[in-house]
Amino acid sequence: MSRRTSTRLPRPSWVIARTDLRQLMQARDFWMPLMVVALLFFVIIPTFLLLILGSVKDANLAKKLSDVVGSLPKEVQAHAHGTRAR
Amino acid sequence: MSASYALAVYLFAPLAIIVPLTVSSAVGAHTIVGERERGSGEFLSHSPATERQIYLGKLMASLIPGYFTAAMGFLLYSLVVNLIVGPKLGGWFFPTTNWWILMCWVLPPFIALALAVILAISARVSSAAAAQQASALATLPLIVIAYGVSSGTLFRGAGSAFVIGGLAWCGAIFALWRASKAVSRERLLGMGAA
Repeated sequence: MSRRTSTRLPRPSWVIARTDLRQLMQARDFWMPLMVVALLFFVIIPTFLLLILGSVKDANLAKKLSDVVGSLPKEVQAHAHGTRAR
Repeated sequence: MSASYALAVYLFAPLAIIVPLTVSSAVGAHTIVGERERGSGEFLSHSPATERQIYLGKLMASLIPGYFTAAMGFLLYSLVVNLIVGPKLGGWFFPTTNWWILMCWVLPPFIALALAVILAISARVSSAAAAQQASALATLPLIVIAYGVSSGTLFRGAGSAFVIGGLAWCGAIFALWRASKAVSRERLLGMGAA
């Protein structure tokens, strides 16, 4: 009987985890900055950079950007240019 | 166009690992030492839960925010990339296969590995501030490794990503098993803390 219980995920663990998560949810001052960091890195910075990159008209800047792509490994370059890597 | 594609698919990959690691380490650093500081460690140490169950509970409470951040961040990032770059490439193309492998196979063990170190530290130190400092120091090398691994995963292809993920899982399981020994009733009461 006791052997059987030990092979299952123990219920007290869930109680402890749930209590901690509830406390975390209530601590807005703790998780708000973390969410801001996550939003910054996953949404704001990529959006900004991709929009900037999509609207480049300056020839010099476009050349510098293609140099960046040129510094990537060959397989990646081929993939980025839409051809199959060998 | 290839610059946009390269940026979206290859150069932002490290962020996918660093942000969830940061979130998990911030939560994990407080989880055990926080009980002592709040005075609730005594209740926990006298509860019928075994030390292993307490450790598992604390581990889940730290892992879930990290995995949640990773999942939500991945979803939002996919939307951003597909909405901005997708129309120029003829449709939605993201996530690529390598990104799926990175997020589902490579990232989870790295978060677990970092948390194993952090929970062991959190059980041993005497204050939340000390736990925060020590865990930042301990996870910094992991973040650097994760940075390199995430880039390598996308650059080298699926085969090496599976190998890297497999090795990371082995390391994470070993580290979690070792860290489970750091949580004891004495430490929850504040005895044996550094």
